[in-house]
Amino acid sequence: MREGKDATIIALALMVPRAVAAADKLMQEHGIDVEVVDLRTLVPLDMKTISKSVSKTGRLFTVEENPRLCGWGAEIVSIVVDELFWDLDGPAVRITTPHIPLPAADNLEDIAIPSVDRIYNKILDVLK
Amino acid sequence: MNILMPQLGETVAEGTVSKWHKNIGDDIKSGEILFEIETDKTSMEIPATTDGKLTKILVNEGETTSVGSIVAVIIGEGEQPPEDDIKEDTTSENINKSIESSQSDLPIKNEESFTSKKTSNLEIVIDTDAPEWFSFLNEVQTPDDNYEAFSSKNIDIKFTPLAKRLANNERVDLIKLADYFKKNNARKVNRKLLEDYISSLSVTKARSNISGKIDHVLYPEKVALNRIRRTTGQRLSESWPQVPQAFQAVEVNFSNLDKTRNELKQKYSDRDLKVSYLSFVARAISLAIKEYPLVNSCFSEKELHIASEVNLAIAVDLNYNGLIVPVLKNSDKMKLLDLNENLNDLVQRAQNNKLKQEEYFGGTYTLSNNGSMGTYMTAPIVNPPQVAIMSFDGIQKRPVIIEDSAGDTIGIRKIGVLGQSFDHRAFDGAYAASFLKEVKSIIEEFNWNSEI
Repeated sequence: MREGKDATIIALALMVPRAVAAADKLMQEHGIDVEVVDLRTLVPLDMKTISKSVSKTGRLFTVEENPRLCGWGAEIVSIVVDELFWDLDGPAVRITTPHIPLPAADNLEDIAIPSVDRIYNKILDVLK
Repeated sequence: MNILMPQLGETVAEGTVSKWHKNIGDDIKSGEILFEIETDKTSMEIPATTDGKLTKILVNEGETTSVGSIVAVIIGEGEQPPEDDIKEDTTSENINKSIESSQSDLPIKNEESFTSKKTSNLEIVIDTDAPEWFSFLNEVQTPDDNYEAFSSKNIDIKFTPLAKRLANNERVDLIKLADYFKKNNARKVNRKLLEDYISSLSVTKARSNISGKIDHVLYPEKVALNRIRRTTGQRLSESWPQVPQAFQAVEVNFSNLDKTRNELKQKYSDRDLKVSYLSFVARAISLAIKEYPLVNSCFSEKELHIASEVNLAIAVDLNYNGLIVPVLKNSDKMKLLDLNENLNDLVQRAQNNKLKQEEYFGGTYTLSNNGSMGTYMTAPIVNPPQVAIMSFDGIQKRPVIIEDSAGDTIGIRKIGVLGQSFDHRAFDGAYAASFLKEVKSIIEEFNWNSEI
């Protein structure tokens, strides 16, 4: 979705535009060049694209709309650690909805699901 | 923190403190040598594993104590000094006994819990028959964690997997790297820091190279360095700052060799036999090394490794296009003619670039011959890990004073100069000089007829 050299964000569906927006903001404000990969499908999983990107950047972030426990990001992190351990230049970080029942109220739901600002802040935190 | 007598070997039960490097009241930094211990098997220096003040020495110099017992106490900043000697504030005889026995034959791992319980209520803790911590399991405890952890504590810097892999690929010395980052207060090394470090290294390298300052008008012509020259340059610039070298030379009378050479000429007049002075010198060195094996060794930080073979490396000039040093293996096992033949063959093949791979390696002593150019003396540079190199220079007829029974006379003799540079860490001038003297006397007095 977006090419970069400092870190990789893997995102799915609704999280893709948010990840791209966060990446743009990081580039503009801090010169951090983040690559965004749109996963498109979980099965089949496009591990080739993920590997290529992570071995280029050395940093992995997943942005997931689902709650944290047993999310798809965990699976990807586990594969990356398994196969690309010596390419990692720092911890892999997951940005997810917390491990809670999803609130029914709109405004609470918006807080729970990863937003552009949360993605932006988290990545900045980790990379700084 | 209590300093315990470390386990020095699997079967070692006690150690003697041979020397204290610190006194009571000294401030101790982690990593500083506290004391030395000796056992029947080994001796070693014990570094402190923590910062603090040395408040108590329980085992003085020369005293022996069992593994695991307390040798000294270091109080770190903010730590409370422990209560005075356990013995002093105990009253009951029974307790005294049990404590004494525990101190002499028990590794007191539970010291801390013991003292803390003791202050709360003495009676409860020390049951005269079997204190609860006095378990036979305690006896096998060794305080290894206090010491083994030190090496890893020394480098408490974390590398990301990628940084570690890159560092390995670039053959970066991890210890130097860790030192560098420690100085710069970094705790984690990632790719960016590592790349900065590597580029800082190449900056230092570039600084030592003065190519930037060359006046190209004054020096318009460039001569590219060939591979041999570059390798030589690299080896020598490694050697020069690293090896503290000294140089000695002796004058040697070669007149006797001339007689031998004439005899050789007559004896083998049927074939074209040329025995060079170099072969004689090589033979003499090979013989002398047997008496002075240290010159035929290799130097490492703590040891001198004496070679089992005498492999003479012979410096051969390639028509000013570089210097190579082919190796004459086992030169001490060859008699003069044999050695001469092999040597000539080696030099010739070196000049024609026909050496075998293995003939470049394994030299244990180097002989360089500059005499053909008419030099008087050469101070060669040691080729590490070898510890010595000999240069053999210009043989010329010179007037010398000859002392014999008829009185002193002046005669004409052929005099050459043997100069040796040696690694002063490996041995001293007296040893090197004795070796030179041995070579000299072999050349002058050896019964060379026995070799032909």
